[in-house]
Amino acid sequence: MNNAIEIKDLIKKYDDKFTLKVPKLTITKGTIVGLIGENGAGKTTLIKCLLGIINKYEGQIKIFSKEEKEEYLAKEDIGVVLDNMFFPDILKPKDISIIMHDIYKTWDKNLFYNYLQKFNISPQTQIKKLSTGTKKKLEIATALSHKPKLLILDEPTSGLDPVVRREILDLFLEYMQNPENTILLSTHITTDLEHIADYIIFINKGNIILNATRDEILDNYGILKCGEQEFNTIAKEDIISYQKNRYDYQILVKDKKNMQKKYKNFIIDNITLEDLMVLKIKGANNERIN
Amino acid sequence: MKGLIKKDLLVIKSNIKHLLLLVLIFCFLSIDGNNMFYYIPTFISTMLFITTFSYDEINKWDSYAITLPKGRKNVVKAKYITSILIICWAILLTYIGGIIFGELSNSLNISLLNNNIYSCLFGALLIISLSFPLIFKYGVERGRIFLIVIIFGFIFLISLISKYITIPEYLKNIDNQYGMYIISIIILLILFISYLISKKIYQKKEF
Repeated sequence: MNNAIEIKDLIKKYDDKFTLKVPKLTITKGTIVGLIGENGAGKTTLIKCLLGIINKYEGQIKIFSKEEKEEYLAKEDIGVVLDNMFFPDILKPKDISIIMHDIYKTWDKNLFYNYLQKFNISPQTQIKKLSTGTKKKLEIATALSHKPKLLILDEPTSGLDPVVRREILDLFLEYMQNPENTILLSTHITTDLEHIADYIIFINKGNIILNATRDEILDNYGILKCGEQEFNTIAKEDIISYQKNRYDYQILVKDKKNMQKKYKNFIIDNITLEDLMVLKIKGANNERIN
Repeated sequence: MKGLIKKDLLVIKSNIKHLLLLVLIFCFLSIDGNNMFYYIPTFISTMLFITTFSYDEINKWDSYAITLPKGRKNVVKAKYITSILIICWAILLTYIGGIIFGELSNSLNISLLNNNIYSCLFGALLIISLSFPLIFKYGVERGRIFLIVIIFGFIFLISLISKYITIPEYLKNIDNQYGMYIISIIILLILFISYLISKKIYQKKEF
């Protein structure tokens, strides 16, 4: 099988306010998939369902073709970094190695200590005495040291400075040297994904509203900028969503090349994932114009 | 599971200085030879073990533990096994301490020591049997409050019953061999039922 993750008809209801719905989602082996969306969009809920932290849901989740009942077989192959969920912080990195050695058959103590050395983490320091960035590096080192085939990371770079973030992204790219390996990571720092992700999944209010390759998205979408009078000359069906700024309108358009031909007098800028996210979530849409 | 047991032992080890200090203080307080001495190490160890739940909760360890192979299945089992290990260790220590103390002061009374040790063991096992399901269900803070309510309710009930009902003679002599077996079996049964309830609670729990 070529799929690391397969989801079918997943529905997780919290209350009347929030429901996560994933009719179909497959993640192919050997890819880096970025999960984006605003806070509370359902990214963490999806990840918790995948990992069995949430286990009451409708639908089917398969990881490495293994279903829920034999989940522990798949879990040997999954490395996990969660947001603020880790070992009791009274423990030390060397304790983690002692514990994990008995939990994962494939735990590699030398590899773990190599990471510690690389990140300049003393095995004897209590976790609570580490800085946010160092702690995150320790979590990632822990996730990598049993040589997982799939890394699932929830906000691995949030709260970190650009230098540490880049270090961590490089680590992910190094991990992807093995073509069998797969990464699923959620983030709201979208620039990180522009560097490394192959696919982007965009979740909004519990629904996947976009699932495409990064290049498809960045090549295809564009931002058309114009003034108020010009705005009215643009065909409504061409406007996916728009935002009115102080001096101009920013319009999200699809099929950038054709749009440029159609609206020769306008500038259509390349889009960043952040623009896309903001315009899709915050921008007014077509229906409101009508 | 061995890993999860080691995790709790390591957490306790990181806290061991506090434990030793407490034991010393209490030993000092009970040096005049009252029975308090026998109960202190076990109950402090039990309470100390319950603090491992607090550390788990603060660091959201449970969510992380579930992502480990066989995580959800083993967390509960490991908690029970580790706590029993800790209790046995404390009891053994008390027993040896009791013998040495008795020999030194020339007042060794093995059957009295045995009785104290037994009630110590049973008391500690009852505490974990009652508190673990509550902690798994409601978390450490609320679980503790419920535990206190239950224990006081229990004491109140017992005192109420003993006021109105005369205890039959055979129950008064419960510390003979035969009675000891019955109590042991009842305690083990309670422990086992508590384990099953905790397991069920944990299987359904979402974090």
